[in-house]
Amino acid sequence: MKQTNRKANLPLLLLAVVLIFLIVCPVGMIFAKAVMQNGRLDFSPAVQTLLNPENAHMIGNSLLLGVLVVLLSTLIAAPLAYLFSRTKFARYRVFDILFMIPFMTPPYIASMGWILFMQKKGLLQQLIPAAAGCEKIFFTLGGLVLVMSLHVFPFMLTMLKNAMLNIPSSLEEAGAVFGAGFSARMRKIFLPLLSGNYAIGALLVFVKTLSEYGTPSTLGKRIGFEVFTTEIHRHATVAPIDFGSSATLSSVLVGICLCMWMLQNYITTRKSYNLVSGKGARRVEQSMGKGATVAAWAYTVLVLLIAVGVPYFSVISTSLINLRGYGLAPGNFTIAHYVELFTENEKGLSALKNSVFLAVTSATICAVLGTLLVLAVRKSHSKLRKVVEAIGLLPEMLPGIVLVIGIMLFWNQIYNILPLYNTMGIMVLAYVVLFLPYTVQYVTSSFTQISDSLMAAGQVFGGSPVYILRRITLPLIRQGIATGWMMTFIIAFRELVTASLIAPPNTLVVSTFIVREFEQGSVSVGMAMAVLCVLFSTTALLILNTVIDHRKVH
Amino acid sequence: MEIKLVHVTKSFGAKQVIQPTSFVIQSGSLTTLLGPSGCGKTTLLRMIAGLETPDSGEIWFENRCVFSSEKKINIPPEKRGLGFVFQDFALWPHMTVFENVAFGLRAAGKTDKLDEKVKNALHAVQLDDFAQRYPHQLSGGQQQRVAFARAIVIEPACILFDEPLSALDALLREEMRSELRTLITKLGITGVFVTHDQIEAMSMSDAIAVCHAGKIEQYDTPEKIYSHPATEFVARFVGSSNWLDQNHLFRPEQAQTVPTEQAEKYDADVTAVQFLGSSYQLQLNHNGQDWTYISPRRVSVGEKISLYLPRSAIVAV
Repeated sequence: MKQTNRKANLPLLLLAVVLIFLIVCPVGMIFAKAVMQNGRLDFSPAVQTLLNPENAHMIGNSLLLGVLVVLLSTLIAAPLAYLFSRTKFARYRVFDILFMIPFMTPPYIASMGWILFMQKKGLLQQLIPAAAGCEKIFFTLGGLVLVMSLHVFPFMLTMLKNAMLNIPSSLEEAGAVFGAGFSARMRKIFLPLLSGNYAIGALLVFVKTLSEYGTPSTLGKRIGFEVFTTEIHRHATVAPIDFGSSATLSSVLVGICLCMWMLQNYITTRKSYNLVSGKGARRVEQSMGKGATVAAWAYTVLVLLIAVGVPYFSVISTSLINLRGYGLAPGNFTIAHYVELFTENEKGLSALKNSVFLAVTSATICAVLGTLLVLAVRKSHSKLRKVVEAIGLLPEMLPGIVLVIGIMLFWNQIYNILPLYNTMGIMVLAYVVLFLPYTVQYVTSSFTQISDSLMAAGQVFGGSPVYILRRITLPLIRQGIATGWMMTFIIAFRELVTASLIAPPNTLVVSTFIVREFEQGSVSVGMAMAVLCVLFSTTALLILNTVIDHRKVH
Repeated sequence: MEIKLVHVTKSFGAKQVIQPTSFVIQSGSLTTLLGPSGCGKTTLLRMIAGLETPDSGEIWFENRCVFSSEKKINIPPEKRGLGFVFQDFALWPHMTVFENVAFGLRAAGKTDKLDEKVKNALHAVQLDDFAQRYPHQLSGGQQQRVAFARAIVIEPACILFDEPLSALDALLREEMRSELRTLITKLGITGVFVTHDQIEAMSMSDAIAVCHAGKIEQYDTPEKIYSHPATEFVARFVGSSNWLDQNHLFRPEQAQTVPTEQAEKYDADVTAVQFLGSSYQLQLNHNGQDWTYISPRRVSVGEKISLYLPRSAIVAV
């Protein structure tokens, strides 16, 4: 019996070794770099980094930004969540997709759009000359908070909306029948029931904001607002290069994130109610008067205009403007920038090729590795499975930039043994590490929809393990694997922070190409690439959706 | 409190779920709305509570009009002063049992002697020691009692019950049935009860309104509904019925296997037999009609059996 157990655990053991090498070693390397000097434990450089007033200021900045973004995204999302869960607006399913657009738009592209729109003599001031001076209001902490909240509010919206949908109407109706008016019901029933889910959403938004690099590196830099991610990036790329400081700041950031995750875990177990009851759970729409309906439509359209309209208008119109000096004027439009990307601009074409290559390879490797991981974890009964699963999901809990720093440090260290650093190989590897959790999650969730008895039935009717895997398991989880592949492809295609840190010299991908053109080349060419990037990933997403819907119908 | 519905109608989209309906619920009685799912019984109850707005008609509580489409009156549920026991109990999971029960009193600002009133209500449902528990720490039957205590503590003129026993298992359901009935009688409350379970309706109610396809088919005492069903639907839905022809039926227990005076004889073939413990349930075939009959002794399949039926037991619908 023992013998067979060992045999069954062998694949799991192998996976554990691979994952430790790929994920745990780099993370460990960060901590080691932070507190080890020449092979000895030495905390003084770390302490020095932390005591540096500039860094203390930066940490304050990051936390302040996190709190403000949580507040503003709540303000934006809460009314929408109520509208789209408890009123007739819930029937307009198309908004589910529309509100995901800001979240699916790469943050660096959205912030470039905002910069082009709001800057001095920018698009807004060309359209409305009276808006002159608006840049003084926008290029501040307030503007940064606005742009980041507009990116992240769909996430808060989804969390809150699902929480509201899960509150059975009868709980509110009971409040009404027993004498509580609308505001009393809100105060005493609705909001207390939401508080747990809201706290979880707020913590996730906070962690996301702290981990975000795209917006702080484009908009934040313009206003001199330094945060964790930009400082870690600066220490690792700008001379004098100081990996020690990068590692110390990364460790602090990881510490903060882990605290938030633990807090989230605590709230989930303590403060969430088992609300979905099977029998008689019905949802009743809150009725709305004419005035309320008009106000609700106005608010919905306004949010979409600001969150989607502004950045997309800016990016698309800039990509079509011939001479930026003339601005938005008849006759000053051209598609030359797009043509240029495919003809004379070799860098653009090679960046596109690189991104497609990276996205396809990393998505494929993730699909294989992630599926193997889930299969091995589900097969085994040893304690190791929890560990393997946790490691597989770890990259999602850590800020991307921290993992990339860890990978840089680790692979630099073992360059003599495995000379992967400074090649495309290290990029593929970093992408795989970063995006592995997508496959793991999608495949796991497709497994939860399959009853174990289906596999048992396969065994009873004489299927060998391989036959069962091929004929039963794989067809049933195929959709989970495909979804994971597509998500990885989309995210990898536009990934910025990894590429900007770890790409070999003179190798550009779509994101770094856009940033470079935006900062020191032709803004219009950069924006043309941005439009292509968004179009490309949106098409991929639409294909994915159609495939899933198509499957559901059958 | 007497509740009066006058020509009430309601449609969801194109589907009219309540045909024009008028009826009066007597003060101090327990009235049951009985019918299959989708018949409109729950919609009627929710309209009385104010949770659903009728398209037309009027609803009166004694001399107080709480809804009128013509006079544009629609008192919201929080101003109607009713008690309500929900199908899923609808206990607030973030409040203790005490706070759940106290909710209605606090909402109305009746905090005078609040402690005492809540304790009395919990005592009435035998949950004296559970005041500080949370709903998820209670069993299904206890949750049901809390829901009831929450309804009686505000001393409403009427309590509405929306299939309150359907979330309980069979044994508990039977226990709660008699417990509820005893409490309602003791407290002298007017009650409106919705259920699809005919035994529940029969055993608890003073009057039953049988609903079908958005209409009330018959409104009468349980005994009358059983012995004199007014329509074919009522006859088929309540109790088991053996049909003599298209319009005539009898209840199985009215027939006997021995001849009596003024009884007509009917022959039938036994097609199936089930042992029920105390008796045998027979499936019979009489001229192509399927009948059932409860027999004290075993009969074999294929045997012929004669049933004797007094003429007075034949019901015409």
